Amino acid sequence: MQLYFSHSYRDVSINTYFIEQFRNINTAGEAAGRGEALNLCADQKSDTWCVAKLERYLFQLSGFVSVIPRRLTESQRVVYSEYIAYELTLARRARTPRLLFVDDQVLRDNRDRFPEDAVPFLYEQPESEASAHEDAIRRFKRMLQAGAGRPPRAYRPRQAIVVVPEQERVERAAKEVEGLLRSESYNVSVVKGRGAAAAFDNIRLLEALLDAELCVFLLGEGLSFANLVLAMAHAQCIPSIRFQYDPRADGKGPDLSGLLRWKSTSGLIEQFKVQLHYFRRSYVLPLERSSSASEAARATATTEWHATGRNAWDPRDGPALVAHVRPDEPFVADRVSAVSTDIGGFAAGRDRSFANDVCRRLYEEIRRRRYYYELEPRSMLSEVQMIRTPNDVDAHRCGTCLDLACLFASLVEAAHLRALIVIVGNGDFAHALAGYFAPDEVSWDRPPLLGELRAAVHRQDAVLFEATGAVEAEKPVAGETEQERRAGAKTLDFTIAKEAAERVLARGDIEMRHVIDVGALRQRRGG
Amino acid sequence: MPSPVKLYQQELHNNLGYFATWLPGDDIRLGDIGVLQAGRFHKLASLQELGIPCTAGTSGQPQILNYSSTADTTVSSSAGAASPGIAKAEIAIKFSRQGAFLFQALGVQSLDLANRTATAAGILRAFEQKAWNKEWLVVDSVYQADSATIIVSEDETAGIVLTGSSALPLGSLPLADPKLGLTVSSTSGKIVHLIAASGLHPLYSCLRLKDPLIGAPSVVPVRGGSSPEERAPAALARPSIADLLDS
Repeated sequence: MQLYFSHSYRDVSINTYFIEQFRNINTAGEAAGRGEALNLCADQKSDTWCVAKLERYLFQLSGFVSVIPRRLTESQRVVYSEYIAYELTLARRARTPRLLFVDDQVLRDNRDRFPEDAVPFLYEQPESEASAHEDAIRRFKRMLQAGAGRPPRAYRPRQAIVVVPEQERVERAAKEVEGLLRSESYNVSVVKGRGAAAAFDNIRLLEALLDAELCVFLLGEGLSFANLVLAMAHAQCIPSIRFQYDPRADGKGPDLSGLLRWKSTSGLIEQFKVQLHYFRRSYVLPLERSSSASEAARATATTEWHATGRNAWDPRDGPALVAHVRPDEPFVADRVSAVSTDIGGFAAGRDRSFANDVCRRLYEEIRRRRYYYELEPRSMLSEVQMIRTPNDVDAHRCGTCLDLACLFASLVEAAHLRALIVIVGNGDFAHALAGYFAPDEVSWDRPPLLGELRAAVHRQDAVLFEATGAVEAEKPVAGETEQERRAGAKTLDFTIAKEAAERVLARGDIEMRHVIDVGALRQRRGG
Repeated sequence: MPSPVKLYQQELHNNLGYFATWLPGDDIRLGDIGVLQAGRFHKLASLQELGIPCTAGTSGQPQILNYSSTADTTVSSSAGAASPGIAKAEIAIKFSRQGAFLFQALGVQSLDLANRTATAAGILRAFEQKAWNKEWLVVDSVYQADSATIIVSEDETAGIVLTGSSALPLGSLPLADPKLGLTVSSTSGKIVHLIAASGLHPLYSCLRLKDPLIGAPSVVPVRGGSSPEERAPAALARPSIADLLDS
């Protein structure tokens, strides 16, 4: 039996625990020769939110399992992911058999938002209620075996319906969508309608929607026939990609309900290609992915991401890293602007304590967003590492040490400080630190050697900090201790992040890989 | 092949980033002005003498520095405490290559230029007034140690035996601690040594005027505000270890 596994990617330890619970029950079932195994099916983490794919899963699979941990807001309030909440809403609408494990505090604070059958767990120690969780899974399994599960949705593979209002601009866009679907071997029907009321009585249209693998709705200006057909498809949980014409569309991804705004046909087609790709992508099976539950949880949480050439970096080419420092990205500009306002502008001070204050505030700007530490995205290219841009880090809500070092270098440079990225390593590991040169530090006409950098940090001519300290990590990433991570609720205080970086730099078993003095490199490269 | 002194200086610089004072007992002070000659800092003047601001600040807490060229240095001590009536305890240090060394310092604190901007501006003014030679260096940071033991082998194989004169067991305290009352009882091969010497400045760093021929000319942003003095540190650079070793 295949179950959709709705979970928060960042909470690897919680996910590990529940994956392990399912594995134990499957193993016990096999040993006793009882029943079919419960297979968790998860969506590989990506930077695309595809509601049509979720709708497809919820009718295709036997059940829905959701693990809903807490999130801390910037003001430290306990909430939960709006995306998981939306998945749960879809599952409830589709009347998919479900099993919910909800953080006890989230459940207490939001009792009326969850169904009665939600099972609580303790965020810090889920295993303390392991027997209750095991019982819940066994009950759910028995219920599915007794016939509570529905047969998979019956549809005609490769059948697509495009629904449009009779509006010239939208009809032109529909032709492009139709062409693209045909090039992907879909049989396509384009349905146009004028009167809104006609939608309600067209039973053949409803049957066609139910039969289709995928529906595409192109909404135009004003309420139309297409809006009402979409409402019916939505109520039936029919897999649908939704576009809304909007002359102010900014090309951003879909909103929580899956609605994509478009103003040009080319922009619509670009977004449609991405949605179609994700719609057709299959799910992954965490239980079969690795014999280690934590490895399975981590692998599923690693972003599948369509990196472009601008994300690639050859680790042998240190100076090339400067291209990944992007002080002009909107996300960076917004954060730096907030800090500038707080301190009365970057011209308000020029000494070392002012620089430290600016850097600390930038660090806290990122830290309060509660991003998390993640591995780098996989790449088909050999001998390159993909680096998330600052906007990618914000979109994925996670990053590697190098992604975050580049993010901080971008922030620091945008705040008129001398940004620094340091990469140290040995045969077993490589690690990036972020920092800056003090405002009164002298020129370096060559990159400092390891010893020289240690001396510069000792003199406070250079300040380095553990960039991953600003994001949540389940365990120490480099120079910090487990206790320090715990004390900072999985993150590190800025002072501790600096101490952790000094510990890394002081290690006797490392060598310097690269020191990137961003400003000096830009000057040498003439930009 | 590099001389033993160069090997010692190179290894300390690789790890700590400072120049090792040579001879280890040489008195190098913050604000000293000089040139590098044969691996030594040769003092010519001081910032005070030229009327250039030189304010000292300390960074960090006093600490212990303990560094040896591990693969080539072995330290062994004779048994236990030197109790009354028992033969005094000894510690033998053997070196198996030129430049191998043992470096231990107690109560180490760095003294740094506290107002680098003012100092840099003063140096630039002195240079413009032809009172500063472009080849000159200024010591911008020194490590001062309450007590230090520094032993450097100048031969392929060398050794030194130290005898403790106190009741304290050898090994309980660093070799730089004067409470051990260490004295040299014998040596073999050529060795430079300072045992529990007080008031040393064993490490230093310095700055020079940046060579204007290196680096692209920079464009000053049009934004008002900053004074030429604030930009003065950018006119200074740090000499490399090669500058010291090849001097």
